Amino acid sequence: MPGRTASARRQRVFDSVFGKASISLPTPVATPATGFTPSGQIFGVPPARPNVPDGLGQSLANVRDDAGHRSQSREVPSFVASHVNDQVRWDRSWHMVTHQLHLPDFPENRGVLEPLRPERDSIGADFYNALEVVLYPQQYVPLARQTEDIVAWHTSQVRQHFLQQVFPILSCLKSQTDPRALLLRGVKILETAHRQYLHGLSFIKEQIDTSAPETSQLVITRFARDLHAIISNSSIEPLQDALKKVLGWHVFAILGLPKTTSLYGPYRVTESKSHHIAAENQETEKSRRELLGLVESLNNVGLTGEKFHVAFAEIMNDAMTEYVYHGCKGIWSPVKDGLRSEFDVPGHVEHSSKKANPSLLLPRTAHHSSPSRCVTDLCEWIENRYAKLAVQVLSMLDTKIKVSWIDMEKFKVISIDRLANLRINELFDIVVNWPRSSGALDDLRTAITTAEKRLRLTDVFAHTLNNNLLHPGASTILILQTYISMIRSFHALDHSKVLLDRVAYALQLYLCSREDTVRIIITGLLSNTEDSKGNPIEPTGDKLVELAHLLNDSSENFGHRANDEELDWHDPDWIPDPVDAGPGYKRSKTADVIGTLIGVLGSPEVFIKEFQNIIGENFLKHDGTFEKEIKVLELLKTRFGEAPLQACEVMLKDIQDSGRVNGVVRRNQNLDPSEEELNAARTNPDMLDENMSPEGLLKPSLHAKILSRLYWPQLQDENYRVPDTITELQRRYEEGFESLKASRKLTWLHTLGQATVELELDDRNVTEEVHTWQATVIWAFRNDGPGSKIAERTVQDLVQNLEMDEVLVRSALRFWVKKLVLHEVAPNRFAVMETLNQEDRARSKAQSTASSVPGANDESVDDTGMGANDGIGEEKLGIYWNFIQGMLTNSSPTMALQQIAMMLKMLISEGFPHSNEELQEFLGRKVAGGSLELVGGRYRLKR
Amino acid sequence: MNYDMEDTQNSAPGILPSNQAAKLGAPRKGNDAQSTTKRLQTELMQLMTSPAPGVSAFPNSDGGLLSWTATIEGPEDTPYSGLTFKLSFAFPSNYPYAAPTVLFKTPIYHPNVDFSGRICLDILKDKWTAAYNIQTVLLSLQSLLGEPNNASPLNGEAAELWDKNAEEFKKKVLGRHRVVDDE
Repeated sequence: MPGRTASARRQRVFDSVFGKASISLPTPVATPATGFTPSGQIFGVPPARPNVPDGLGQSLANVRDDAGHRSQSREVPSFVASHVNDQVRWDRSWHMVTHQLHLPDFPENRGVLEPLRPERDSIGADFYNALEVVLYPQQYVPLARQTEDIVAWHTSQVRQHFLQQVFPILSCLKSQTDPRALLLRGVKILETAHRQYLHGLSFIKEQIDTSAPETSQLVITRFARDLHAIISNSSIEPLQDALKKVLGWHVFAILGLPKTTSLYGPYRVTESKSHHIAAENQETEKSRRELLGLVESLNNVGLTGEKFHVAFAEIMNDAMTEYVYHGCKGIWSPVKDGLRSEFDVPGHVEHSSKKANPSLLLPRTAHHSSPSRCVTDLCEWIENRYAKLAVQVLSMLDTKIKVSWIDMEKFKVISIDRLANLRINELFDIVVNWPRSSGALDDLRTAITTAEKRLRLTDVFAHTLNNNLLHPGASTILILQTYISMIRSFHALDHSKVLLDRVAYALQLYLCSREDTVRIIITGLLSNTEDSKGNPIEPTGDKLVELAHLLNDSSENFGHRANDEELDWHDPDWIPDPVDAGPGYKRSKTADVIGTLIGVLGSPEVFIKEFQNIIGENFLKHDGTFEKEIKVLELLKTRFGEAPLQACEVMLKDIQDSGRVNGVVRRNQNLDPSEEELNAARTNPDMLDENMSPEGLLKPSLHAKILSRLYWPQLQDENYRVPDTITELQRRYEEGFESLKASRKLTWLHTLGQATVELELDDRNVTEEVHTWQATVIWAFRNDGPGSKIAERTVQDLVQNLEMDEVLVRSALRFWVKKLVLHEVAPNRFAVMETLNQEDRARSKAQSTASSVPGANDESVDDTGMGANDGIGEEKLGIYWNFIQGMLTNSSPTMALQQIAMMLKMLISEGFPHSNEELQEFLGRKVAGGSLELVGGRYRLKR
Repeated sequence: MNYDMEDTQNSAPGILPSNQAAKLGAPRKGNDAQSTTKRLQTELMQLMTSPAPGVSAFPNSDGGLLSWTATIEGPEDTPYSGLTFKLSFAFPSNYPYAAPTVLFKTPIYHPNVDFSGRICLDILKDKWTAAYNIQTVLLSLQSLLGEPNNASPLNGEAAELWDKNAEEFKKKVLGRHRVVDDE
């Protein structure tokens, strides 16, 4: 017997797979299975019971009676006969029932109104009797050996029917393009099939209900479960894509996300920049109703199996990602911008009360002193819309999954995590945009809570930094500016400086490899924060004015040693060092930008040397009180100590002393403006300006700065013959000095001085602040009397007469040519331009306006610094120009500045020491001169 | 921090400062990449400091010094006057002990140049010596434009036309010339 059922079961499985319809066929009536011949029975003997035919002949309507007589017939000892009898009766009932319940073919376009088969009216009592027998074989035909479970049979027939008839139709739907229509159609088909299957089952259920109430539920649920399993496992496949799409649309609409995302959008619309979260409105309500309706119908036909769960989860996951990555991307400002709030107004009024206490919205893990805007918004969105939707949808499904409060907290944590990821990836831009991006830093501060996240943040940032900034294409100023932004934004992010230390190391190392770092920092420190009119100078590309601002800003209390804090046992705000702080960690309360920057350079010697050079230049070039220099000097003293800066101190003292000595000497030697000059000054209307001193009006006048030779860096001692009048003045000054300081001697350094030159030309006067050697050269062109020939000099003459280095002479000549005072009449031969033609006049005007722009003057003077090798640089430019021409003719017809600089650096064997800015300026001159043109950021030769 | 390193860190990798390169390069002779690079660099400097009229050459932008592009302007009083021709130079690793491979990039109609730009010129073949350099090669090529060697033509038709029909030759030259603007 067990073998038999096993084989029958196997057969059933086999058939369900291979579609042999043997089970659904009615069992043949004519050949009842008689079972095995029991022991002691002669094989082949006809049934002993004569009344078997009667039993068979009995109307099935009497089966019940028969059942009633069962006890009697039991008493009949001939069990063989009852065996056969029961079996036959079973078989016939089975046949009857299965015949009736056999599922009709599934028409493809079946209407809903079409009656279901078998029609209820066509079924008579016979069927119910047979069904009763089939349902309870033990009761009615206890001896029948081969019985089967009618529900199992129905299930298997349903399965087969579904796979053979309904599933192909569903598969065909794939060709539908509109996912909405596809889904609708699919659901309809499934509903119809479902109705059909349940209709069959309903007969069985009714029968069970009448004969054994209460038990039907079990049968039904089991059947429903099997049915749903098969439907959701097989039919979700063709519908899945459509399902996902439609779900996605609805979910995105309900959550207020833009529909135009690549994943679920019906068409790819070009992504608009302004991602905003639409408020809840009629649209979202409509979508919500549609979605819930859809989910309900899906649930009814059993499509809400595990795969649906997965799909829904994926979509919700994407929705969160979408919200974070698009909704929050680039929104760094700490306050709501107009656009957003405008859209927020209608929907969010109701939440305004909650907003009053934003910390309520945050998950407990992220509770923080000042939650940032994006985080608050995000949590609000999760709580009011995201979790709400999840709860609604999941409650439609008959699963045990329920969204609890804890789940919502988890949602928030996950979303904040994603926000942190987003911000970490954006961090470089955030830093560059500091301080406009402080909102984003707030986000990060809220979200970055664990050491792992901090590590990830620094890793990612260091990587971006390396890619974006630390390459030859970035100018040192840019790097320093970014570094300043980094110092401040990381300080805002994390007061402990641990994060900054981790990312800044590579940057510092790189800065050390740049030659101009120190110079830029120092000139930045020493630069003017206000222009001549008292307006603050905005930070520009060419100087680190930020540093000077910081220096003047008293709130930035630099230079305080951090270890004071360790000793302060009474500090109520003390917090322990961060867990990920490295050894040697020092806490500091302020961002201390300047301190950090100076610290970058590692060894103070380099810094001090450069500082010495620069202030030396400044001291010699300008007069005044040098407040800025003193300030920076004080700053450096607190940092490096007094001793290394002694030289600078001496330099400063030299300058201050020589101011006094100068006054005394000049008074003693009668070098001050004479009476004549004072009178002349009074009569001259141009001299009414108070700033113009009367001295030097009629004859040259001399001031000196007395320097202590040992303490000044690389004083340049090129000598040449100074004009006689000046020599005379120098001699008198010397005398005065020697009488004042008996044991000391003055040595004149001709090239270091500054001179104010006034040139009277035929049609104009030129006044220039120049170097002494430039003044000397122009002196050589002087005319002794009016009407004489225009002075012409050759380079050789000048070199001989002035005993000056040729390089210096040429450099000075070029300077005066540029000022339109001289012009080169023949190679190496220069003459004074007494009159200007129209064109030159325009140029000279342009020059004077250009030089009146603040800072421009400084620049030109800076170029010709103390080193005095600037002349060589000018000479080199010709060769550079050849190189540039060569590469633009041969290598490639158009090149960007960057490429040109690269090629020059690579190909010029003694190196190309100039920065990109200098090269750009040089090329700019060529463009202005008409030999180059700049098209789309690339240079090319003009043909 | 070693500040003595500053200079070398900022200069291009692979190229030693000149004094160092001179030290390394001087005593060696032979097939040494270092000396080839140095020689080419010297030649470049020479070309830049004293350029010859009508010819110019420059390394390609891919970074290696071993491939150059050169430009020749057609000499006056020849059929090529007013035209410019681009050439490619490929230097072997044992340059200057072996001749560079020189090709016309601009299509040119010339008795000693074939249609793929190969040039028949003795100093680029068996007569090459290390005394030649880029500039001399370019100047030779420039003079070859005016005075083709019709005894060993690569382009027979051109050689014939050169002698017989100058008018037609000029027409062919103009017809074949094209401005190449790669990159």
